[in-house]
Amino acid sequence: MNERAPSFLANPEAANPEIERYYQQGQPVAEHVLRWMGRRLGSAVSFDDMRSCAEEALLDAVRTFDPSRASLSTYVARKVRWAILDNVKRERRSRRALARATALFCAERLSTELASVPDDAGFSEEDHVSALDRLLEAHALALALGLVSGASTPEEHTSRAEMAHALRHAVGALPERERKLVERHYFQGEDFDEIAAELGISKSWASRLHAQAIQSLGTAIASRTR
Amino acid sequence: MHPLLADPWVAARIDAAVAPYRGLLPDADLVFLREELAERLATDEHAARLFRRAAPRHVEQSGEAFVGEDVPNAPEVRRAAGAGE
Repeated sequence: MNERAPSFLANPEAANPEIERYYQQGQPVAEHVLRWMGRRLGSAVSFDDMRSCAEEALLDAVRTFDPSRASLSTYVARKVRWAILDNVKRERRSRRALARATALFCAERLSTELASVPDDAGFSEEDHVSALDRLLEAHALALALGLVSGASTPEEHTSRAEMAHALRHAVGALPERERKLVERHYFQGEDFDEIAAELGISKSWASRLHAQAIQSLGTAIASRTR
Repeated sequence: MHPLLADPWVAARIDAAVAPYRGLLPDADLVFLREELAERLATDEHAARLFRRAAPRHVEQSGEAFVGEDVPNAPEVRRAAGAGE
């Protein structure tokens, strides 16, 4: 990623062999995510800006990594993705990439929540295949929801109008709190944590409701073609 | 194209997940969905774990994935993690 060592690694007093090892191990992961995000978001986002975000996220990740909670590669990848996406959402000049960034954000939020849920996929290969299909179904919905809610140009709104209509119909059938969470966050642009506070639920519970809502919506949209 | 999509078994699962969106999203978005779902299988820990369990004959714990003889026209080896780089 960056051939130069970060200042905190170069300072012998501040150097921590474990953190330095995490940094060396995390670098290729951050580089992979950076290049992948660069291809996904295209030229609408400055690659230098993304690299800067990725480097900051990598440093933050190696300082805060807890081996008991996740693997280093997963943690670094997640930190780097969030940092790049968060920057795209904040920068007006990256507006053309907003829909894809929102889609990746939505899928990332789903991944984070599902990673904390114990696997319950049964024991046979058939059970695992079924669980994999449901996961892909949910992620496809998360990406589609993000593409619709992040649409920022008239052309994007027009080309995704049918998807938006189908989604709004499916969202309307969700249980009340899931519906409010999805409508307010994705269609009214309200901050996820603020919605959770107003609904009187914790952030972790809101994340769980979000994952349930995405999975239900994925099933509802998939049922249209069954 | 994402390397995992060269495997017909994986491509079929991903295409099934994307199928409900045909006619609802433009083609460019459908391509984006396919590619991103493949990337999830390659880099997301939870998804990769389910993938290994669902396709044990195809994916080794090492991250090297071997495609068996029962999958026609498939590449001999694909990467299950860090694919595409």
